[in-house]
Order: sequence, then structure tokens, then C-alpha cells
Amino acid sequence: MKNNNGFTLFEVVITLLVIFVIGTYVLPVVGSPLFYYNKPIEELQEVINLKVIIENITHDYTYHCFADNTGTKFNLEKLRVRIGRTGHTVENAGFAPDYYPYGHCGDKYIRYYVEFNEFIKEYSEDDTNKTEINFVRDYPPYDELSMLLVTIKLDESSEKSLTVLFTEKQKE
Amino acid sequence: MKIIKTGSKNKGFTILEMTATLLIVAMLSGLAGLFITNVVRAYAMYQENKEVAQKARFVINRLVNEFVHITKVIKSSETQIQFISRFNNQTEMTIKYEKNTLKIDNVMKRNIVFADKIYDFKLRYTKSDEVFDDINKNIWTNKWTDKSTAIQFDISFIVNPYLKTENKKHIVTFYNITTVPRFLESKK
Repeated sequence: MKNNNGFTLFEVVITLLVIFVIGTYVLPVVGSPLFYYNKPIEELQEVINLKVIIENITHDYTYHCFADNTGTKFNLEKLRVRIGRTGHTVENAGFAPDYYPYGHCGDKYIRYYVEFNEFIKEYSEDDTNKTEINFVRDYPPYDELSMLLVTIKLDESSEKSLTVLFTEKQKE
Repeated sequence: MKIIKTGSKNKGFTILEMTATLLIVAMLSGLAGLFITNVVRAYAMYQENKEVAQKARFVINRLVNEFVHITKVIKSSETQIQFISRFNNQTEMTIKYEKNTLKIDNVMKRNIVFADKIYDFKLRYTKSDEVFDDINKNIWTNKWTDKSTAIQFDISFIVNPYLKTENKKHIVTFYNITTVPRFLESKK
């Protein structure tokens, strides 16, 4: 007498295939809000953190750079050194009190990655075309230390970045 | 009486088989139920967070725009700031936190609520323009002084539940939003 015990290989393979196909369609649909439900908040806090670092830099730029009344000889070159080197992540360097990094805000430190922090200058191939302004990186010895382009990210792999151009301040 | 034997083939299921099947189905549907509940909750939280992030973006941008253009601060505390700003055509203006709302008070508008469902709002001010040079000191204080150069605030929003079955409200907080006023009269 023939007695069937268990499933055939064909049945098992078909079942697995069906589960796999359904899973492929269902997971992205239900998985996205399941795993990323906090993403809108995290993204906004990320932007706020980037702005905080830029505001810290702006604070020094606004109130120290070219400020004769405070007696400091803080200029764009020093601002550049304090921001950090291009391609480096700036950690909390408590041991170097001369140059505190700009990640300090209130009670916590925000580490940041310096994507670009170099002097730039105007450049044009054709002098007759005055409407178009191009910028190129200025290498030492610098022609003029008048424009500092800064791009920062929170992380090297982060998609969000913030870019600010600091120019030489004209006295009012 | 003649008993007709139909052979040894079992037709239908035994009670044991039925019970075991029902038990397995019940267990599986219980697990699936848990998974589905989690997915629905996560989706609801995603929607709540999306809404609150949109609202927060608007409120924070407005506050930052007001603060960046400040030329003079008249009165200040942890929950209230009275100032003159270029953003507001150099007229006096007060922003205050009162009864879970943020209110704007100026010549044109009196106590207009511009953000509701605010759980908490706290302002801080730097002590002097040297503060970022010496972070070992506690650089923030709750009053604006003649030497202050930056304003910082934390803001918490009350999030209403997306699902009617959920009664709990949750709070979303954004920390250390810093603004440096660029046009202070005292620093010119």
C-alpha cells in the first residue's frame, strides 16, 4: 500500500517561492514606516545641528574677525584653522585650548566633518565674458585672503551638507 | 446484521488533527496580529512625526529669522523676549511662551498665537562675545546682557495621536537651536 508521508520536494519549493515573492512585495511597503518612523524628526535635528555649527562659526566671524574694538587680530585665516582641515572629522579636542572646535553648543558637543574649507578666488578664462563668475580654489602663497568657502557635514557619509561663503568684511 | 467494511482508508480528519491545525493557525495568526499591530503603530508614528516636523520647521524658521535680524534686545527671560528687529521694520516686538502657545505681540498684532501645542520653550543667551573662546565656562545664562551676542532655545511640541485608539500624547523636542544676531546696535 502506498502511503504519502510529508511533502514532495516540488511542494516545498513552490511554497518557498510563493512566500519569497509575497515577502518581496510586502516588506518595502510595510517596512519603510516600520524602520524609519523617526526619520522626519532625526532629519530636522540633523539640519538644526548643522546650523548650530555654522552659527558658532558665524559668531566668531561677526564679532571677532576684523573687529578692531575688541583688540583681537582674528582674521579669515585663523577662522579657517579653527574650523578644521578639509577632509577631516573634528572631534571634541579638549586638550587644545587655543583652538576649540565649533561643535560646542550648550551642554553637548556635535562632531562634524569638514567637506571643504579653503580660500577661493575669482577666475575667468575669457575676460570679455563679464556676466559669468567662476571660483577656483586658491593655493598658497595666496593672492588674496578674501573669500573662505566652508562646507560641513555631520558625517562623511551624510547626504546633508551646509555651505557658507565668508568674505572680507568692509568697515561701515 | 452484516457489517460492511469500507477498507482501512481514512476519509476526513481526526479530532486530533483538527485541534492541532486550529492550534497552529491560532498561534500563527497571533504572531501575524502582533506584527500587523506594530506596523500600524509605526505607520501612525511616522505620520505624527512627519506632521510635527513640518510644523517645527515653520516655527523654528520664523523664530530664527526674527532673532537673526535683532538690533536691540529690550527685555528678556527664559520664556519671553522683547526686541527691535530689522525683520519687523524696526518696531518693538515680543515673543512669549504662555499656556502651551507661542505668542507674538507687536504694534500691528496683539498677542497673536503663532504656534500652539507647544509643550515647552526655553530661551538662553550668551554671557559675552568671548564665550566660544572659552567653553570651560558655562556660557549660557537666562538674561540678555549688554555683552550677549547669541540666543539659543529648546522647543518641545505636543504630538496628537494619529490613531483614535491611542490615548497617549508624545512630546518631540528640538535642542540647542542657536542664532547669532548680525546687526546688534551695541556692537557697531
